[in-house]
Amino acid sequence: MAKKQQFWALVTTLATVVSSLAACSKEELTDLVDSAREQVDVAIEQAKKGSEEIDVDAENAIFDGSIQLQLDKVVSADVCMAHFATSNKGRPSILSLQSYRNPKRTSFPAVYLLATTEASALAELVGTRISAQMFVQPLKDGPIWAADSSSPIEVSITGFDAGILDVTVVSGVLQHSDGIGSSPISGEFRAVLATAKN
Amino acid sequence: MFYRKQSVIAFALITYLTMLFPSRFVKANPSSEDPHKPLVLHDKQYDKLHENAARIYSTELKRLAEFSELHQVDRLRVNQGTMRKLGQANIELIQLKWLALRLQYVGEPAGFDFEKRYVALKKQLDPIIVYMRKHPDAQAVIAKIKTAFGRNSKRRMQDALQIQERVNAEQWEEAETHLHKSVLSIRVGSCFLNPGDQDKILLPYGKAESAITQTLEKLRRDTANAQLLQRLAAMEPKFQDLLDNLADAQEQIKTTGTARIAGKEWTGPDFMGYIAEQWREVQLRSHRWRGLEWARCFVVNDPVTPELVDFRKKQTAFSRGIVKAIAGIIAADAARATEANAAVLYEKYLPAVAPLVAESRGNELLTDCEQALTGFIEKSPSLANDVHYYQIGTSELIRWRERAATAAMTSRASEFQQLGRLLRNSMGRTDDFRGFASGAQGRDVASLVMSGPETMLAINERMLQQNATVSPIVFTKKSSFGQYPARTNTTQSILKPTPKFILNSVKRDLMINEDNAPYSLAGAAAYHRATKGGPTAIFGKLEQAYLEALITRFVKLPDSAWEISPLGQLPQEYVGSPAVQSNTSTGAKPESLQQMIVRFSIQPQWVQYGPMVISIDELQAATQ
Repeated sequence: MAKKQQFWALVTTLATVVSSLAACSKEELTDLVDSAREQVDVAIEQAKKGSEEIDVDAENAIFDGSIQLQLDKVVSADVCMAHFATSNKGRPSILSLQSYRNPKRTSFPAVYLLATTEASALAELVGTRISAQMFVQPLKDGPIWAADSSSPIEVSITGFDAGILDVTVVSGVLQHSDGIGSSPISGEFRAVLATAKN
Repeated sequence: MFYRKQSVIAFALITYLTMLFPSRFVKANPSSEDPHKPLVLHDKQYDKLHENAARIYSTELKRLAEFSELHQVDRLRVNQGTMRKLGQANIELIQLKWLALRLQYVGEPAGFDFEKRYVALKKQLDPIIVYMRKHPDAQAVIAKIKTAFGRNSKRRMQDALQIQERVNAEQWEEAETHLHKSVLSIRVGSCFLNPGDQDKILLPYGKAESAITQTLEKLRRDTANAQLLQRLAAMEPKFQDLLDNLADAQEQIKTTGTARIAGKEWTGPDFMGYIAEQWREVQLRSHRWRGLEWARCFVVNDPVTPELVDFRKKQTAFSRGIVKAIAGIIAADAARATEANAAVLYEKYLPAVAPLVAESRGNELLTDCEQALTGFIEKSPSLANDVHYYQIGTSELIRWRERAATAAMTSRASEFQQLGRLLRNSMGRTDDFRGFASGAQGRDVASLVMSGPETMLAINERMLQQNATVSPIVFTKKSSFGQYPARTNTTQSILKPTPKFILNSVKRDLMINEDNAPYSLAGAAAYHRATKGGPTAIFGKLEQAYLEALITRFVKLPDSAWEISPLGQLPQEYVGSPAVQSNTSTGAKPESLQQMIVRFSIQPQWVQYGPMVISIDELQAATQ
């Protein structure tokens, strides 16, 4: 939107210059052209500056978090959404991390982590360790690595600032869906808080 | 101690019922243990025809096996006694074919199988008769037969005239009885003559025979059609009645919050129970009705009757309509709800709708009802928070649990083939095998190319003791059976409700405890599935097989087995290609009588309960 405005400002400036040219002497013309040049340069400069600002905004807008995990192989994702929900009925709060925005359009590798905590706000969690269930599916319809509530992994919440939550895996082992294999897990989540609630 | 005793009794009872299941449903179908049993009838009135055909088949099977064995080792005695027995076998087989055709004309699959059996036995008999015909020691007897036929030619002419008189008087049944008696008395001996001579002897009967055969076939088909139409009318699913009831209920609930339907006052959530009962009844009737209409397709010689087309349209419209109607009732109730009662109503609707979502296995009902339930959520911020909290805690977990279970199943796919695929792979047509199963027409087909016993013996040889996987499994109070995919069906030798340790895990996933029930429709449906039943999938070894006709299976579907396919869905079946034009003279023939289902009993090795796949040993250790 901002970029569009800058463009129209430039066009208007040029149009003013061109229409003024018709009724001027040679000297005046030179001055006018110089002045127009300056104005155009300024406009171009502003437009450039503007587009840089837009890029930064866009970068912020599309920053969806990141996941870097070491399983039997490296698993990484450039989306990590955090959800945090608290109960009205005195039940534990819930924290989940996932590698996709929309469950119906999951990209792969897909990662999901789910934990419960007594903390009533995310800020309270910073510096604490919590147990979590975790699932990793490297390929669509492929095998799944999982640690369920019977043998959860442990994660540490290392920071929460400006809607970004940092989580490090402290320890844990994921089981392979073939029922035989297992692998220790390590790595980090940098998650964007998806919900405005709580 | 008391509970232990109770559970032992329950297990014994369930085991007993399992043992009962095959005998109740496959009283006489071909099985691995007895491949020669005939296919059962769906209409008892033809018992006599069926019994006669079965008796002939069983006697001649034995007799021809003995003759074939002697013939193969060249120890067949060629004399008048042997020839008399062979002549007798010949006319018994002719009668078998007549009975087979009569059963076909009334839409009984057993008739199709008996004709195939006739062909199989004839293939055994014919080479022996040809051998006798040429054998030097038989010539004296053959000469005597010839002389006798020569002497009686005038009498045959008179006999044929008498039959023709009955034909002229349209005394069809009497004419047929007379004709059959005459033909049999001729063919008991004429089979040893050259085919040309045989034809000459039977020539006087030709005209009457073709009139009798054609007329009686038409009369028998017409009578069967009229009777089938009556039976069909009586079992027709009341699609529109139910939809009308639901529309009426929605209107009433919209204005008063309750509905008076079928002489009873219902609240919205209570009414869901009524809908469930009615919908299951419609489903059961749909299965039975369609099965019987397939029989009628054969009787009226139309692979796809207009009635079948109309039914398909109605059924599809109903399945869509009932989903909208259920969601409409919830939405109407939600529109009246206040902040004070929104949560209470929401909580009542979840367990009421959950069975329907679980049984329909489709996302449409779930999605539409979830949408309708948001009507309550929008009324109460506190309810909205509780629902959001529950969603965050469970919805993705449910999805991942299902994915993990699928992955666990997939990892066993190389060892355990999906049963329908195994049937296609093992019983498909090859250069040296006439085949039975295929994926033709884009859907799974299993139809008799050989006779039932020949097919059954091939299944025994090619499929028993193979590993297979079956899902989903339906677990009713009476039995457990594999839902019906790809012309296969199963019963399991191990029947156990979901073990406690798995149920506890499901409860943990769904955040259920003494104070908290599931708080989303998906959660309530998952919990319903876990508490209602046993395993959702089985990996095991095929132990026994039973051949069942598609028509009979569905026409005689027991009340408790309505869930042989998910609520609202009828498996697509191939019963013949429709005629290219509106008449059937374009060559399209009904193929409904030969369509089969193979039911297997399966010995589980791995079992999936909801999200968990465990070995049968683990299961037994954990439940002891």
